[in-house]
Amino acid sequence: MIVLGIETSCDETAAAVVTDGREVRADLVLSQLDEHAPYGGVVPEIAARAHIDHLDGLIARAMDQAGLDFAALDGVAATAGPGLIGAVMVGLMTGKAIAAVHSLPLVALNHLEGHALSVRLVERVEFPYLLLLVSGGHCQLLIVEEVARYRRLGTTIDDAVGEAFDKAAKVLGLGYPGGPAIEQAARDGRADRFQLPRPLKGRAGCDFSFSGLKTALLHLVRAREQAKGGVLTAGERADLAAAFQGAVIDVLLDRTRNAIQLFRARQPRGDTLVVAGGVAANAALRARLQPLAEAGGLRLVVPPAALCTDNAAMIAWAGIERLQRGLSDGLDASPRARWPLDPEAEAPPGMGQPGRLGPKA
Amino acid sequence: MPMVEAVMSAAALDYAALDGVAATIGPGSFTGVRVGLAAARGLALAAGVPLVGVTTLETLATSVPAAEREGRTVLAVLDARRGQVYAQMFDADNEPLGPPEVTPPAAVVAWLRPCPVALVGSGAPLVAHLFADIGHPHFETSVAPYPDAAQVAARAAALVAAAGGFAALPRGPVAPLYLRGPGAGGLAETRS
Repeated sequence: MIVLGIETSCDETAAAVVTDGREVRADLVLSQLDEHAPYGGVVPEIAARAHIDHLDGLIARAMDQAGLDFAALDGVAATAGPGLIGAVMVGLMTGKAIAAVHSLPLVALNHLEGHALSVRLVERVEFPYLLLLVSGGHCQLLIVEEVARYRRLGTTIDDAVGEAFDKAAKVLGLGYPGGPAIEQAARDGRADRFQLPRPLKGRAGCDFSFSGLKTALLHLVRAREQAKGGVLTAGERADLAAAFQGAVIDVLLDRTRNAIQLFRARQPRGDTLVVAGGVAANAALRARLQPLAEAGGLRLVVPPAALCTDNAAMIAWAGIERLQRGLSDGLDASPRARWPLDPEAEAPPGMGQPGRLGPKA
Repeated sequence: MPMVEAVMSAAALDYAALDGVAATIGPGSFTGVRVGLAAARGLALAAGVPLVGVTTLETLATSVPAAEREGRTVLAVLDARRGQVYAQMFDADNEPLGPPEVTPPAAVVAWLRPCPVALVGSGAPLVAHLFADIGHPHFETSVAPYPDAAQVAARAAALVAAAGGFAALPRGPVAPLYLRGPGAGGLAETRS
């Protein structure tokens, strides 16, 4: 089985061709980083414009690299949400068109399912497993029971973790994207020089919160700048970055510890903790998750970085997993800005207001 | 896409039978334009046929029957919201007299020629009273206020015929015509 994957849910335009033999025949990603960098975050209209300018050419290149005609495909999988709705539409419409012309089955895929299953493209991981999904748009703990069957244990009640890194980097003048910038700066810093809060740490449950942490950092930086009557020194910047990263990781570990307990109780057969999403590339996080997983009796598996950041290989692979189980979608499938993987998951506390929940839930 | 499927089925054609695909590139709703154009670019790529982009304004203008154009200029005008219109003026032979623009309705008065003007598009009511105020003869055409797909295909076919075939059309991707910037972070709305 050979499937074309299309991903346009945020600021990466991506196309990939993957086989059920776990062979990645093409895997192309066009980043829009430069276009969004001046704004310190992703601008939805700029993202949508870039997707439509580049997607069809990228698909043509991917097919070329795979050495295939569209007629040789067994299906098309396109991200249908959650994400920036104008961006998602471009990829989904293009995918539908290709599926229509060649009478191929379409998988209108949940982007989070792509992340959730990506590990199985590169490693033998059996269901069920525990998933920590940490990215620019998401921060969740889920039990992956089977393809299309997920139980959410917790999610962020405000910012996604990658978003928190972006905002912190902006406050510290470290540039965009914030995750790699903070990690880099933190290497030269001392995490214990500045005190920052650990929101929700020690509380029951598996939800996350990063908004207060970001605000605390902002106040610390403002106070520091006022006291010194100027800008931060490189040393202060590094120490603040280290303090922020340390606090984020403390929160992630605390919530994951609770999730491991829940997972072991509900799924005694489960033996794996998978970390996916762009923030999984953070080496400090991975280093501290390892002993936590071991202490909980789980092995830690982190897919390679290229599969953790947004990509279309994971979309194609999740499409294959769905098609193998007879799951596909009609050409009337709608794009969705919000789309929880676990349909029974309730909105996290404090997020009842319509319109506030955003694509992170 | 189900509508495209239904049209192909009603026409009793396979996609392989198509010589080309046509789609509007704007100006209009950014998201609306992209939905249609993303589908059209996907269809053209998958079927291996050329894509012809036409503007909403030229499609409207060229849909005006010859009898209604005779001796007049044709102003295609769409409501662009925020106190503006998308507009372009054409002569009686469908030749553009200027580029498509996004502009306050009042600015369109300066485009008038000494002959009567025929109005087409959803923005017609936004400019008609301005022409009435200055006593310029104007006329609302019988064409519906938004372009339909048959008019789009007809306009594209006319462009292809005028060029002497698909191969003679300009190459390269067919991009949306926004006329407005992405409006990010308080950026001024400017022509892109």
